[in-house]
Amino acid sequence: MSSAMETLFQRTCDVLFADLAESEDLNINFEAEESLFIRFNKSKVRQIVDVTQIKVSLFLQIGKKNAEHSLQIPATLFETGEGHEFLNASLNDLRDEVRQLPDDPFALSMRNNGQSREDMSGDALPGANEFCEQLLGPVAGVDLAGLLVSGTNYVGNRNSKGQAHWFVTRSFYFDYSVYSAKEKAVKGLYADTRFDPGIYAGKIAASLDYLDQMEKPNKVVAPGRYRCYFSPEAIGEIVELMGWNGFSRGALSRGNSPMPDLDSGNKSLSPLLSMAEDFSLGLVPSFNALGEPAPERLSLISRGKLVNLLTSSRTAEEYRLESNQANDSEAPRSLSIEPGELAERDILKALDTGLYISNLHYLNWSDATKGRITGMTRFACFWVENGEIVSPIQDLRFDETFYNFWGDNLEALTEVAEIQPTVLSYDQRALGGAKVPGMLINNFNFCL
Amino acid sequence: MTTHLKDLLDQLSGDADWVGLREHAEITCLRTARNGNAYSNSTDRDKGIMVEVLVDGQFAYAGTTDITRAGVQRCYDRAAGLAALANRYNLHKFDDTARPAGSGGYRSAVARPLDEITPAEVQESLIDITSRLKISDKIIETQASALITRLQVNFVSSNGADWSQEFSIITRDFAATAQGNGDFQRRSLGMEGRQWGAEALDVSVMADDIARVAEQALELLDAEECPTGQFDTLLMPDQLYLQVHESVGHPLELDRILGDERNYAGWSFVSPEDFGSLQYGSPLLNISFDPGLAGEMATYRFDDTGVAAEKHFLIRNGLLVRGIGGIESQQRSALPGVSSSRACSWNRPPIDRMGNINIEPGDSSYEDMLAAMDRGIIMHTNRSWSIDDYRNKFQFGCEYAQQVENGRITKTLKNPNYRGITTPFWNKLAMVGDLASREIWGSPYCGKGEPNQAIRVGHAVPACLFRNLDVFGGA
Repeated sequence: MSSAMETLFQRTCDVLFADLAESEDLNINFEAEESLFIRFNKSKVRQIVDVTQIKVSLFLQIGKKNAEHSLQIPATLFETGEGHEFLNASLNDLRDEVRQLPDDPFALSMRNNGQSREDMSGDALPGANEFCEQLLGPVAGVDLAGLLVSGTNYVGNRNSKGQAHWFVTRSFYFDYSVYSAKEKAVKGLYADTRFDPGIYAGKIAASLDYLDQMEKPNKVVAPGRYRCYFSPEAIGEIVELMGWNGFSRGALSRGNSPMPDLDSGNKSLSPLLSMAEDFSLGLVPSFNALGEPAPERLSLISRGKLVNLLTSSRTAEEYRLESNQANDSEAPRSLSIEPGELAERDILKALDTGLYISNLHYLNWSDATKGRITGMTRFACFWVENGEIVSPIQDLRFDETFYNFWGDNLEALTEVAEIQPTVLSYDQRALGGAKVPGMLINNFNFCL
Repeated sequence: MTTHLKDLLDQLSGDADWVGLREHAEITCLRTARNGNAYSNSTDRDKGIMVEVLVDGQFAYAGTTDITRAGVQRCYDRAAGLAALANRYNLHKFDDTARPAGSGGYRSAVARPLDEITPAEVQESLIDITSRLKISDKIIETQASALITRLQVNFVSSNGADWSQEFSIITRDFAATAQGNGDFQRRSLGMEGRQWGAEALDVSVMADDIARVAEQALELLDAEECPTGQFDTLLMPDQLYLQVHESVGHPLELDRILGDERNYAGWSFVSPEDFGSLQYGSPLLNISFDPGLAGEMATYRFDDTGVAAEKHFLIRNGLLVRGIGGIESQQRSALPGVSSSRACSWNRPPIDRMGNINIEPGDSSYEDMLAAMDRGIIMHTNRSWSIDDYRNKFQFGCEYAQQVENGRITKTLKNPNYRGITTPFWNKLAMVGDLASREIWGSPYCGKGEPNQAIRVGHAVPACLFRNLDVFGGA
């Protein structure tokens, strides 16, 4: 199927490029998915959905004027004999719009940024029937809710200057949570390119073990500052929020960034903290919507000092900076935080007394330019005393700046960083993720 | 508008107990300007069909952009196969009463149709706004945006449903960011989304708001930090609408109460026994699901399962009486609900969504509420929001606040925030603004569901006064 989709992409581009005038440049992005979504509640099927969608985005530039039109096309576009006409009409609509728009003073000259090809389509994945059997078998009698997403994603880019990129990945994830009769919950995730029933059974067993520990009555922890361990899943939530202007060079220039104090050197973070955009993780294509290949590794924070912010070519043009081939939103696509030295077996001992935070929920900037973040604990979080789990906690709200929790209060990082794949599916199944360790943090502020 | 769909339906072959074809055709343009220049112009044309089938009590769905007889038949076969296998793990047996055979149409009421304004005219307006916002060198960034949507939804089914709805929606916003005194302050209109036409982009009508936003951005640079403590707080509609959304709308969704959303958006502190017994707020609190209020983002005649839309009270005199759940959730839970099964596009199944969730106006004028504050704070325009997965512990931040002493506004405050817990908060409601203080707000980005769906919701709310909220300032 990969070759059929690639043929559709190439033919679509060929038709559109053939229709261009000399004064016109066209950049084409292609995003397609063949996805199966099975939604579970109480270990039963709540909804089952199959979606094939193919989106083509055309960015047309005529001199300093430009605009983008995205459209859905069917896989059978060229089977009906109307494909050429449809694409040429779409391009003409875009032309009509571009010609009437004012100049874009920061329009970029289109360039050939090279070619790349990455095909990770791998083995076939189980079908819907096999997934239902494999996923529900080990949870008979368990109250489980979750979502299976399985299928193939295709990403392509070409422009009229000759650049060409193609990326295919086939994978699944099962994002689930299990519940006790007392409404206690434990979160789990199994993501891979090949389904292994043994690995899945192990993950479910571990989740159910945690659920047993949740059976004790909740401890109501009073607001205050506590020593905490944050799991890689919880750190992944913080990293996701940081993507909202946190690493954006454009946001810094526009006065909408949490980084002014770090950028100016007024503040620094812990020397234990180093993070980079790292495309060697293979989670997403390294080319952006302009087809620019990003460096395989770009250091953002090194030993607590800000080294780079993500800078798109557009921001670079506007503020006369060097681009590092970030995407338009200047959010990390494949962030990696360097691990530390804390062994997993030593986490509770190192925590001693405080909070073990497995998951966080609904984070937002509460004072964006000062780096303050609010959010909630969620799922299996525990009160720990003398290195032993005592009881689950009633969920707490926190409100704290990363200058504090990644600054002097960052005490240790775990020796293993774990990949946290993106599990979002707004509009289409998303790609990407982060590789992050757990963190031991002192004096973390909980307010409600 | 549904002739082609009926033809496709008639040509399907198969033995499903019920089949429906839901077609979404949406054109959304996002146009932005910054600092007196055009910044971006993007248009998304999304069109496809979701084929829904019911086999032995199990619904299943397959979506496609291939709107041909063969393409729709392939989806029908795929959906029927998925329904048959999912039947072994069926959560609830439905029948075709979950897809009523409604017929008719709906069209947004607009003063000036969207096709009467060109892309160039929209850009001209946005550029003009950003130029007007630049009233000082201290304003380092000005932005304006218009998210313009034309949406047509058509639905036909094997039991006779045949309806069509056309929506004209614009979400507009503009903002000025000021720098000075070692600080950055951003002031905006607030993301203002409604069903309306090109009249929403008339700069002359917005002139006072543009001037106010620019002036207040500068004012905030010299403002005092919002104090920490318990204060009577007047929440203006451009903040209160999101409070309603997060702490009334979401917890009343029946699919959350039934546990469908536990793994992603979250559960609810509300349990089935609470309907008819929980005193959600003070007796002044009246909250309705109102799909008929003209101009709101989620005004419609049918939800996406074909249930005719009607106004219902969710909370009456502070008492919880009804949930936000469509016909499937009503049948599963035996709880009263509303016509609120909605899908964000052709590629997602309908789930329980908010629609328009409104606070019914009271009888207090703005001046009455101001006079009733000895030591209070007025908060304007949301800038930060967060709430837990059961919808209890929330925290909100606003762009701009004013201190009130003895019934008079005495100074401007920056970085205002408040936090609380849902039902104690709503029971602190002391005065409800009258119709004159009511404003229509809404969001195009309400997210929930697995797979995820972002959908448009509306909230018409008056200003409301709350006693003794926990208020605090910036970092």
